[in-house]
Parts: sequence; structure tokens; C-alpha cells
Amino acid sequence: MIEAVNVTKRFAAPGGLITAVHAVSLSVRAGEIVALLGPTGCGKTTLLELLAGLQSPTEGSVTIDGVLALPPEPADPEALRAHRRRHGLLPPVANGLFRDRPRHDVAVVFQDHAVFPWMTTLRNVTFALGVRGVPRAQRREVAVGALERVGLGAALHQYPAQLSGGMRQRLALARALAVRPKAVLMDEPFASVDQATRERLQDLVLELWRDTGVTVVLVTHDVAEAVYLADRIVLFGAIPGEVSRVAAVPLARPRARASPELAALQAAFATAPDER
Amino acid sequence: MTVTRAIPRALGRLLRAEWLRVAVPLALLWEVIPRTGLVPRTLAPALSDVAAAAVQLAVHGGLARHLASSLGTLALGLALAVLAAVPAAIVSGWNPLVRRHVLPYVQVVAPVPPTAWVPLTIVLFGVGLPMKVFLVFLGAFFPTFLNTYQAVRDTNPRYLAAARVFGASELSLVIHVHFWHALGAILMSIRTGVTLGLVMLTAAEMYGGRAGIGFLLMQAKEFFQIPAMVVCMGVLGAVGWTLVELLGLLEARLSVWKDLEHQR
Repeated sequence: MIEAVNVTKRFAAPGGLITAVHAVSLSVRAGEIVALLGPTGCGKTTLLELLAGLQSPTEGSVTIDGVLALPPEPADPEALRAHRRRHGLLPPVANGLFRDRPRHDVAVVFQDHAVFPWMTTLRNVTFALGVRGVPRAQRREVAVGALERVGLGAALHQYPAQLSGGMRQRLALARALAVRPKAVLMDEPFASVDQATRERLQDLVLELWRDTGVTVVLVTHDVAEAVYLADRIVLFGAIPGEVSRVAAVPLARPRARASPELAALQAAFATAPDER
Repeated sequence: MTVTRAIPRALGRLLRAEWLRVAVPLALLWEVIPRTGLVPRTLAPALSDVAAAAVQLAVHGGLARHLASSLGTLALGLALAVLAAVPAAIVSGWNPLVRRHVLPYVQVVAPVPPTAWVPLTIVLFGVGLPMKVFLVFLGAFFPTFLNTYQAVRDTNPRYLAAARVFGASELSLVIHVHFWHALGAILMSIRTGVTLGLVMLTAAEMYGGRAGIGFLLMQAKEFFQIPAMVVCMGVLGAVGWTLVELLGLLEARLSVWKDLEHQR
């Protein structure tokens, strides 16, 4: 489904180049839940954006369903400047000047949810459906269905500012899943809500995943969240940008949050970076 | 909230107690001090002198005609400035390539004080409506352009990324994301533009043409009619105040979601 081969991403920074992601290879299979786990600043968000085709890799390649997520940027500074000039009017990440069409069949839930504050709940979803190419006549029905599925059926005409933090995350989830993507990539989706809300949202994600069979890639720094949700965990190590190991979570679903197996796994992953 | 209901409301605000507490003593002092001869009444007319001049101007001086001329010029200049500045600023804020080819010109011309354009404009356009409209345009264009541009450039990249992932074209991005994100700043910048447009209108009318409140003001100066001058100043102030209030109203209507955000 999503295939990263030897992906490296470097940024120019005041003190020289920073390597955000270093030589990561990862294959996300259709229908599985993969968690990218690591501390803040380890490069997991950058990896997610590379997998979503929002950033060009410096080296290596990412393919989504066999299609290059985003062409790589030249590493040489002179060539990079020429590349940027060439793409001045239409950057590689753009979809086109006038015609709405997604480049890949994926959706992203951002860390601060990125729902548009100037659109109502319903409009946020119909906008996404519209630029996705869903015919106008179907948009409202699909949007209402998606919003009801996450429990926002009563808040169709409210603005995001009128919703609680948890409800805004539900809206972001509904908006992402309403377009029926093959994969949804989530960047610390529940980092800014309280524990009880977070657990409800995690269960909601599992329900939606079971219902739709969507592939999920989830960035988190919360070991408990990763162990509870994921089929596989990609663990970022002590060296920023490097993956220390990829491990399967050998637990059957549904998982009990308080089970000793879960606690044991949690402990194993929590101590992992120190083993190096 | 309709305009017909909002104007009385704005006027009502002027009549509130804290306003009256300042305005009434001030009006009394204005009336009394020139009458006592503390300052020569020919230089500082009493309030009643100004009121009499206002009636005189309204009945015999064609105040309404001049006001209509000023408002027409102002509206035309402002409309042209907003119609040119907002789209140009949005496109420049959205795209680095366009920005590279547009911004240098704006940055070179914008620092020139708009009033410094008056002589050249009179030479180029002659004295008349085109010259006045152009000067109002100049006054309003740059503040509107620069503030709008900055606001569009400051669009949260997360919103752009989100819209693009769903498939938004660059046009959709501009219409549905950049524009709305910058709307508050656009309206604010138009307010600044209106204020500067009014300055330029006054300057233009004082230097050229035979109509408008600014012309009336210069005429009063020629005949040393200080009360009439004060009336003209008052009218121009009232025009500015009304326009800014109207824009505030528009702002409140268009950014419902923003007010909700501030309430949190």
C-alpha cells in the first residue's frame, strides 16, 4: 500500500543540514494499523509527511499503491534552486492550477486537526468531498452520514470554535474518512485531549478501521496508545531520524487496556531506546 | 443586523452617558469662551457661529452637491483600489513566482507619501475627476495591498496541506483557504485604505477641481470664513467615521466564526 525505500530527508537549517529522517525503509500493508512511535523531535512527523506525499524525500523514494508519492528534490543546492524556479507557479505538492483532484488516495489527520475554522462542521466535510470529486448531489448525504458515524450528527451547523477539543478531533476523523481513502495517516491525533476523551477516540478509530478496512498510519509518542492500537510499531531510536526497530504487536483484538500482556509490551517498548 | 438598524445604533452609541459627559461641557466651553472675548471670535468662532455657517452652506452653499461629489469620487477611488489591491495581494501572497515579479514594484512605490503624487498627477491627468479618483486610489491601494498580502502569506500551512491532501487545486486553495484565512486582515486593511483615501480625497479637492468638500474648504479659506472651514472639517470627519463604522459592521457579519473563537 505505502512503500518507503531507504528514505532520507534533510533540511537546510541555520547551523547546516539537519537530518530529520535517515535511511528508513518501511512497507505498510493494506488494512493494517502501523504506529510510528518515538519521542518529540525524532522525525516521526516528517516520516508521516513523506508517506503522505506532502514532502519530497532528499534520498530514496516513497510510493503509494505503486505511484511515486512525490518526486525527490535534488540534493545539490544549485540544482535545488533551479528545481524550485521551475516549479515556481505550481509546486510539486500542488494538485493543479484549476482542476481539483487528489494525487493519492490517502487522507491525513493533522496534529492540531486543521479543520477550517471558517467552515461549519458540515461544510468542512462537504468541502473535502467536493475537491475529492464527489458529485454535488451526493456530498451532503455522505457528509451527514460520516458526521453521524462519529457522533457529530447534532453539530452539523456549528463552527469548530463552538466544539470541544474532542469533538474537533472527531470532525477531523469524519472529514478524513468521508472521502473513503485507502489509507489515513494521523499525526498525534489525540495528543491535545484529556485521557478519557483520548481513550474514547482511540476506540472510535478502531471501530472505523474495522468497519471500513482502511489502512492506518499513526504517529504517537504515547507507548500505551501505540500498543493498544497498532498491528506493528515502528520505533524511533535514540539517534534522531533513525528507526531502531519495527516490531509486530502479537495481541489479538479486541485488546483489554488493563491486561498484563499489554502492560508487558508497553514496558518493552518504553525501554527499547535505552538498549542501544 | 441590517444597515438601517445599525446606523441608529451607532448614533445611539454617541448619545451614551460617557459621551455626553464629555461632549456637553465641551460644547458649552466652545460656545462660551469665544463669546467672553478670551480668544478673538473671528479666529475661534463659537459653536453657534459654526452651526449658522452650516445652515448657510446647506441652504445656499450647495453643501449637499459638494458632499455628493466627494462621496462619488471617494467611492469610485476606493472601489477601484480594493478591486485591484485585494486580488493582486492574494495572488502575490499565494505564489512565490508571482510574488517575485509583483512585490518589488509595490515595495519601490509604496514608501512614497501619497500626497507627494499630487503635483505629478495634476500634470498627467489635468484637474478633474480622473485626477481625484487616481489620488484616492493611490491612497487606498498600498495599505490594502500590503496588509492583505501579509495575511495571505501567513496562512497556516497545515490548512494548505489539509486542503491539498483532499485534492484542492490551487484555485480552490485561494478561494476557500487563503481568502477566508486572511478575511479579517483584508477588512482591517480596507479600513486603513479608507482613512488614507479620505486624506487623499481632501488633498485632491483642495488642489484641483471645482467641487467637493475639500474645494469648499479652500474656498472658505480664500474668503477667511473660519466657521465654514470648521463645518467642512466636521463633514469630512463624519464621512470617515461613518465609513469606518460601516466596515466594522461588514466585518462583524462576515467573520462570525472568528468572534466565536474569541469568545473561548
